[in-house]
Amino acid sequence: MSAQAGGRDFAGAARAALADPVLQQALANIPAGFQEKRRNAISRLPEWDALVAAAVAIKDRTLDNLDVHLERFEAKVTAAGGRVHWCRDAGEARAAVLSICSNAGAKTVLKSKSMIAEEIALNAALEENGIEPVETDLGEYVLQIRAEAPSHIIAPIIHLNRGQIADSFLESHKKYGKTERCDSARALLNEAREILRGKFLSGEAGITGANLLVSETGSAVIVTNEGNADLTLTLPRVHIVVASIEKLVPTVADAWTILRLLARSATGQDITAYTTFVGGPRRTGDAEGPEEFHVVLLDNGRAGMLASPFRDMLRCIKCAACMNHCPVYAAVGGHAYASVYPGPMGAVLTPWLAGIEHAAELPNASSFCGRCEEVCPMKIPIPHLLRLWREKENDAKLSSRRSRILLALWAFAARRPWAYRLGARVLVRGLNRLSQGAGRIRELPFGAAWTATRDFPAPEGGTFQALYAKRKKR
Amino acid sequence: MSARDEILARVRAARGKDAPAPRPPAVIPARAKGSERELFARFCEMAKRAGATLAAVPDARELGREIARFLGQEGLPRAVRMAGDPGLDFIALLKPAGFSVSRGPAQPADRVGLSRALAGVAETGSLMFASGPGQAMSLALLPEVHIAVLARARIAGSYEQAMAPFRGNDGAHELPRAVTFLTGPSRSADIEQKIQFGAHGPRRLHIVILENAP
Amino acid sequence: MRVGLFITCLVDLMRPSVGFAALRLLENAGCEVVVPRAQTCCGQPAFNAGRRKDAKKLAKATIKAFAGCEHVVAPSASCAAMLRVHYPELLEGERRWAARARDFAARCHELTSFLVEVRGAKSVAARWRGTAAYHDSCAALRELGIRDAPRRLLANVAGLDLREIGDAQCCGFGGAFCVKYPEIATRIARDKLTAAKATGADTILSGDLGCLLHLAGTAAREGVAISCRHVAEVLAGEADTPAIGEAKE
Repeated sequence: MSAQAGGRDFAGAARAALADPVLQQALANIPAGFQEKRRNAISRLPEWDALVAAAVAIKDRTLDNLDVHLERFEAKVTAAGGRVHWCRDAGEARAAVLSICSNAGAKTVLKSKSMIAEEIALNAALEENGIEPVETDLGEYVLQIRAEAPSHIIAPIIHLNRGQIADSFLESHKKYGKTERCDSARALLNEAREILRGKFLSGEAGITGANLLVSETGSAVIVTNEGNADLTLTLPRVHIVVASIEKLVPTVADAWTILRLLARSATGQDITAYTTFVGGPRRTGDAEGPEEFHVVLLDNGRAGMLASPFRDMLRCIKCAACMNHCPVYAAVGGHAYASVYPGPMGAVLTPWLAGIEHAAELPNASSFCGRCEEVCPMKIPIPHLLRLWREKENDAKLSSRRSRILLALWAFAARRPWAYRLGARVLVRGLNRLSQGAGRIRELPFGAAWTATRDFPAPEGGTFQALYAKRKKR
Repeated sequence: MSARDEILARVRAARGKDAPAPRPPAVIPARAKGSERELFARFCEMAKRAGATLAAVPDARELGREIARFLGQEGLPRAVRMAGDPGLDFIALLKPAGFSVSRGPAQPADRVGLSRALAGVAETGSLMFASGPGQAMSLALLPEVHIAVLARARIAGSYEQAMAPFRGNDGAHELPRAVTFLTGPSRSADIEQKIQFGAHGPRRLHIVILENAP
Repeated sequence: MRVGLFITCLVDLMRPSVGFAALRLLENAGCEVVVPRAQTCCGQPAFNAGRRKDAKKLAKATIKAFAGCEHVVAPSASCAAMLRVHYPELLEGERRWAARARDFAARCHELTSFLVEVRGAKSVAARWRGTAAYHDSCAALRELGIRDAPRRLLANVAGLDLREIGDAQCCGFGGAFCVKYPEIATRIARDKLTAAKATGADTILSGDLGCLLHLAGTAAREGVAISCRHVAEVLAGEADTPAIGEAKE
């Protein structure tokens, strides 16, 4: 999957996803799982709305002064003995990571989950340069051995069932001398733990993402439930953080305001099992820790987004609440979006990163139900931003010729009441004839887009305007 | 122009003409506030909710007995790897011990790691650890069982309070290399969205609260 | 009180009886109702398709058509949201229209919320025998914050047993969405129909005809035994018109 671009043949991919019983069963977990857990967590925190308001204000303030915070962050990291690498795009970020690994002589690199690493297609670049990336997040590890992409930004293998994981382990773990298929979730976890344990102890560099960057202290904040990020940033000689510039918040207290929202929005936990503030290489006297600390700071379009009408998207904390509540995502899953970032937030972000011409379908794959906006803890007006993308598509004539013609005709008629009323009467009469008194139409000529999957209810007959005018005359 | 200069220039160019929004007041949830007794009770309740087990002991001798009892109950070997942390020396000095103690960062064969939490957070039953001399986060990551010793007097209400000792005179935080908040054992729900403990990190977290710190 | 009835395209073309039901409800609530002949479409299809220029033209035409009305009422939360929420946004950049659009928007309402919140209606004198589940359209729930008003009115309809679906989920219509991605839209509708049937209801009620046409069409094709009606019909006590998509007897 290309790191840029998305939504290619979404309609086709969606059809395949709908017809996939294994995927459908996996997706059925979402309502009772993520939705209900989030609801419960929020109901147990009366300060939720106040925290959301505070978090939005913190992010907006930070974005207003992002340059100040970036510079302060860099100064703190440098003072602690670390190094910040500024990268304009994915290519520069990949080059920075490769150069750090090469200078450190690292041939095996541990990775904890990072969407930025996915965005810049880091694993492929490492492999091409003879460096072995080892995914340590259980879900990402499964994807790595299956050569698949994540389908969700926090639950990467939500689309897989136990049987599929067991099959993959059986195949891939032969080389470790494993011959038996794991027959339970516990067995799978134990086997993964055992195999990854060996890798944890031999990794030469560790690459993590960051949920937040704190300018007050020059820290990266990294949250996991497994503890794999903490192993990744503690045991190897080198720790590399890959993070985009909008992750910055000014203070530790600001970080906590957002952290109080993050896990609750994402998994319905009050807080993840591991929440770590980390900055710099090991200090004198430290019993553990890496000798080198690097932050690969990525722009890749974010600075430009600041001045754009899409600026609110920079408040996103990647909690996935939007896709957990999206009826479209729940029906087709993440892979159908063919994008690094799926679901509602992906439909806003990907066209910016890739250019709308490379992600034209994504903003259309929405019924504008507004659930995403409703659950977003950073109050991002997602439907409004999707509509803005549709405007840009329209201006660039990216929508289908047929739909543009139909809409132009509709607008033409709607601005001329006499034409509208006439057209309406003709249409209604025609539809009524088609229904032949059955109350519904099974097949609409030129209307397969409706009647391929549903019946079309027949109009009652006559238009309101005509009937009302008649009534008034009496 | 360097990448740094270009990115900063682009960011500055986007800055609005309006004054930045006022700093919002801090929102500390009610569950992070209360009397010492309330916070202690809440810490215990929240920690249990997160999947940890707890015991409260009055002194060092009882602490030793609790550790021995716990190891026996779990069918674990009576051998504990402990950090070099001088704050844990009193455990190494216990006689009779009921278990053996080795000091240092976790080794692959260690089944039980023991470390001292710098603070507890009542808000979510979390424990705060930090890197430093004699501190080893690996003890809370590699072994299958983690025993955390926490002085009752170090239970704070909120995360911010727990981190307050790191604040300098100007109010800004000066942090050690790593500050980690632990809330319950390591876990994953990646397999069919059902939670399982012990994904890489410990499958079991046992918190022993010392009522009267030595 | 002079109320302009914004009939909406779907009611005008597909189910005029809803318009007459709305008319009756408003008159019974003491309103003088006018139906401006120059009204056509609120412009939402153009707006959601990114055709901002067309949407603006239709917004101005609609505002002009309803000049002189104290309130504008639509039997559709989706159209009412277009008028109330999006018209000011559409026209805020135009010096001569910005204030006018804001003033207009404040006077626009969805039917049930107008009856309850502006007219203070507590009930309607209607009978309607049946077990129904109410589907809140996304526009009603999330754009206009309407939830109580229709339920308050339905609660007093004699003979009606009202059930709660409880999912606050989209039905899959979404305007052009349901013809762009019909399989997804139908799948979402199927989930809604299943949830509605699980409440024991034999009818789905809603304040939005778009949702209802999509749900009725899906139910008919898939053989789900549930009828669809607009809430105005039930509140006006109209038991004799066939449900949406059903033949006249």
